[in-house]
Amino acid sequence: MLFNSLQFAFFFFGIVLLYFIIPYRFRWLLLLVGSYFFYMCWNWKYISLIVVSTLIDYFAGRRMVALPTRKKRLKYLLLSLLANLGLLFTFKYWNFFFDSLNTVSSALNFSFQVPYVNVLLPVGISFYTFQTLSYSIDVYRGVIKEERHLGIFALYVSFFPQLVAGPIERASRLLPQLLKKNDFDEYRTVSGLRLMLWGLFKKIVVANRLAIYVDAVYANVEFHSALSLLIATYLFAFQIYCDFSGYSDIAIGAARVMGYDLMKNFNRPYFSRTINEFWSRWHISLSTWFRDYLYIPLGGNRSRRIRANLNLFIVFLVSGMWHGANWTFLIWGALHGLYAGTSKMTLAFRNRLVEKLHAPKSIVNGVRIFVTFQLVCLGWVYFRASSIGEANFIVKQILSFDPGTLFVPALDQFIYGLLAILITLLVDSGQEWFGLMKKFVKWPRTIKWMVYLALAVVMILIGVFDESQFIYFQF
Amino acid sequence: MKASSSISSFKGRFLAKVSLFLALFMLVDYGLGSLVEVIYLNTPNGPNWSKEKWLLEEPYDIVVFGSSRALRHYVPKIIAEKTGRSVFNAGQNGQYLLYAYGLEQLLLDRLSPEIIVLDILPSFVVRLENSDIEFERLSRLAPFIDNREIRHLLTRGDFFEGLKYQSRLYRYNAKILSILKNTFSTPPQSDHGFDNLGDVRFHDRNPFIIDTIQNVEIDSFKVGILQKFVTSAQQKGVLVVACFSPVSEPLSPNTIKALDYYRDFFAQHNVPLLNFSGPEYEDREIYIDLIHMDEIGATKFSCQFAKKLRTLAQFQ
Repeated sequence: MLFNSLQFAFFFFGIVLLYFIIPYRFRWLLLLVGSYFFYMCWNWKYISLIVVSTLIDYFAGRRMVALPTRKKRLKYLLLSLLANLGLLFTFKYWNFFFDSLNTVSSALNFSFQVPYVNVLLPVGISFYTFQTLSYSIDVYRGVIKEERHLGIFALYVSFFPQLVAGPIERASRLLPQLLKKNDFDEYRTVSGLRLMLWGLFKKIVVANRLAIYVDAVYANVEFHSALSLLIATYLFAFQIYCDFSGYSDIAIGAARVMGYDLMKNFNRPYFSRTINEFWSRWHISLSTWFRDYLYIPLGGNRSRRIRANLNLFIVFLVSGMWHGANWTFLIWGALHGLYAGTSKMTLAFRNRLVEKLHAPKSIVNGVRIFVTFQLVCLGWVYFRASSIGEANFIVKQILSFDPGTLFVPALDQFIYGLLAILITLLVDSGQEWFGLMKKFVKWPRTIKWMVYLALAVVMILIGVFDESQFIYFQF
Repeated sequence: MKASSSISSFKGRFLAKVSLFLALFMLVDYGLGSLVEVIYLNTPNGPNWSKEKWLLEEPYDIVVFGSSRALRHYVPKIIAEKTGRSVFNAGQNGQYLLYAYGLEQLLLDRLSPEIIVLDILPSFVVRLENSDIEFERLSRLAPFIDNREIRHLLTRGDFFEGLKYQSRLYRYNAKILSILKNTFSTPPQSDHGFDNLGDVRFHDRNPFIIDTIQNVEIDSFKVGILQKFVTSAQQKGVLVVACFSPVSEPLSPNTIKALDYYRDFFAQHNVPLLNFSGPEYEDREIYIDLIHMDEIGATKFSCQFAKKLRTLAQFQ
């Protein structure tokens, strides 16, 4: 059941209606059953993985709190880490890892064969694994208390709006909310529905529409000109942004309707002036997860400059691996690691240079946004391509400066895509520089309703309703 | 008690607003959808766009259905000259049996031609890996969703798909620019649906889809559609003729297997099958790719096809 399907609309409104009708004490049960049902619509067998993960972390949490020192708690933390990362490794990285090992062993002239694990990748496994891990680590650190109510804890792991693609919530934020009594609030409900509408627009009108062109070009890169490859890469930048931020908006909006406040996951990342700023605006819940549970434990930026940059590089490599079991994701992570390190090291120099040039701030910011966007797009080539060889070919073609002719299979479809990007950019820049949303909510209801209706009409007229999956479901 | 009743009244007021908004949405959808429909129904004929509407408005004696091969191979002007009957080429790029069936049903609802020709592709009755694409491409027929058969093809009996088509605007999803373009532009000269590509250099590409698959397996759903295509026309007294138009190379074993199946099928249903494959047409000079002829090839084929059809139908 996808967020962009009518099935989800029926499911969601059914749940919301029941949620506000039934007594407060049964709400967690409704949401838990609903969440498990939501997940089982994709593959009923894999709910067992969520249940196993939930039980282990619940048990580990309970045991850890009963022990006075970190040293004694460590074995339960290890149990949680091994169980969760073990599941993740088996389902996501087994084939990739042993494939790579086979290649190395063949190169060294000795045979090493490990059987393939022929299973489907469970949807959202990277997301809920990281969410439960954050709980175990926080309990181990003594940052939070353990959750004693198994049902509430199970709901924390499987809460349907953010189960399959985040935002990756922390126990300290979400668990207390699940225990709280939420009354119906019209303002909050409307705000949630508005966010869901905008998320749907981004998915159906922008991401799905652009996917048609991007997929056509990236399916046969060798047949396309440099110009087509460049345009397809730019379009992919918008596709993945609208796909993932669209999903996040729907997730946050759906939770908000029921009174839960999920963390912001995107903050108009393509307006970033540096790579580090980009990562504070893109997939925020994952970036902060890595900051808190990997970067800081590695020493963060408290260590010497080289070590701090190495820490940063490691974090980006792991982040690349988190996205998928493919060398392309590793290269993508490494690229961003290099960007981030270089950006940090050269920031002071660049600032001095700007001061000396006396250039207007708007121009400096514009140039910085442009350069950052190009660097991010270079990363997207590796993210989207099916192999490193293919990605290298695309980069080489683009840098050949021989544009060739633009591949346009259907002009009207291409125009719909550009129109969709324009609307998204207008809304995003309005929000970035003029605080559009704060002003919008104060507009007369008639105008607001007209905007909602216009969005719905555009969605119906130029949206792509093929119920294609969200890109981040594969992670 | 007071608090809970005030919350209930909040919910009630909110639900009333939601209902009002939904009613307004339905009204806008209906109003705008009807407007687009009027524009669509009044667009001048584009070469491929609004082809369905063109076919349905004018009676023709002979109608040719099929894929891009039908579109490129049957020249109505030539066939009309040789047979003395009016001819329409209803072939369509990227469309296969399901589209041909849907369009045929729309036609038979309104008119009864003398002869219906189906230009067969080997893949019309073979199970393909990505069969969803054929269904997705049927959205061309969405403006005609009120027809029972079209509705069934587009929704595949799925409740939620059916619900989407309750929206009047959705019928014109991704079509609005084409409709506007065809409203404000002059239609190019066209020979009753035939797409003349002119003289294009041969490219060694576009083999039949089934030539690239391992095991040819007959798809019972598609066979059912083919059966309905034939019987619904025959029930109206229309002569159905199947034709396999020329290809540039000797046939692959997969294609031969599919043609053998067709031979039996059409024999059972009293449908004459004309097969134009063979050395006479295996000449790359008259093709634009492996399976599509150029204008010279189409002219040559149309003459011979008309001759055979004339004999078959015993035209005066």
